[in-house]
Amino acid sequence: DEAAVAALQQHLNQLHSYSADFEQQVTDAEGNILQQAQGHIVLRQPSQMHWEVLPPNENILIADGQTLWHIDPFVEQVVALDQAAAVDNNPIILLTDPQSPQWERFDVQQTGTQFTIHAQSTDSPITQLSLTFEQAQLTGLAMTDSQGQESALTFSNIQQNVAVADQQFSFTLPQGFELDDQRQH
Amino acid sequence: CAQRPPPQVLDQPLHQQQLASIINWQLNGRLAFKSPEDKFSATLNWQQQNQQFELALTSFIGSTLMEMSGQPGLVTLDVDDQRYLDSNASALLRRITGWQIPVNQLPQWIKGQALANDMVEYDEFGRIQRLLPGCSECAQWEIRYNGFQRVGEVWLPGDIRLVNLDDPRNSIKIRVNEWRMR
Repeated sequence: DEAAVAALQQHLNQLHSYSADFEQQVTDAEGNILQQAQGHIVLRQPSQMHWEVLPPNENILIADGQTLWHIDPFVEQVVALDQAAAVDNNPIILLTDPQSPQWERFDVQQTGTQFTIHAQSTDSPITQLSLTFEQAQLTGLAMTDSQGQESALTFSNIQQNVAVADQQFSFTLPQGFELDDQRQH
Repeated sequence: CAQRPPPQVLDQPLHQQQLASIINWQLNGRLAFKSPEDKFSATLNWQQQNQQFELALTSFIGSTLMEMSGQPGLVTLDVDDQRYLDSNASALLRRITGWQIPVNQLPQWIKGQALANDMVEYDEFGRIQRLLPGCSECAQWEIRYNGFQRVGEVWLPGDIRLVNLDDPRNSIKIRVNEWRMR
């Protein structure tokens, strides 16, 4: 509803930059734990993100504003996607772009300081994203996919609106990695 | 990390018997799949209860890539919000996703357990190092094992690599982060 969208955008507008460590737990629809990981996330307006998962699940996602780079050391490959096209698979990028028109593709509900964001389109694998704020701090995020699988992140060492180095969002192809460039040129 | 290799040489037949007796287990790790058409990695979750298996591949973001479950003769595959049924897991997976993964034999191979007429080589500690399948439908895979880790009383593989000898560009790498016996 409109009020929730406005409230969410008001929260996100204040989030010029955000960095935190996270604990991730993925559970299937029956509640079995499928994956547990630790990592670090850095967000910076507009539309920049660095999402790094630590070994043994090492993976890195870098959104530099135009391109989303997925670095996968386990197969020594980088997949490049147009950021706009990647929002379906990873709505988290939208957190750094409160004014983005892409928000219209999501319904937002608010209960207390938790926002639930539903993807309107059915072809997005992530069907629901929920954000939890405490005072002005983003403390939790959870994504549910169309199979009812939930990936829940709890944040710690949270730093909001502190200066973030540009290199966090710049990408160079690691030595020996193959580039799978899926961007529309 | 993996423990030091055992001081004494393993009694292979005994080790193979131990592996065969492990029929209720769960493994969590990482799977990499490479073929001329596709290349990806995912978190691998495999639960085996006697003949019954449940297999899930999950992206590191946490969304489902593929789920398969069933037992020999009746298998369901959930991928891209569609459900498919078949009697043969490997054939079903290949038909729907194009991925060639020997799901039918993996419950044994993933433990380092050789099947009836598989050709096997052992390392100097008596642990399986290389396996060439004997069964007709899976003849083209060559499997290499390393990174054995002690789980309770038995040594289990930590790193398994399968190469399709018909087309070596098609390969699978499995790294086991955790074995759990049930």
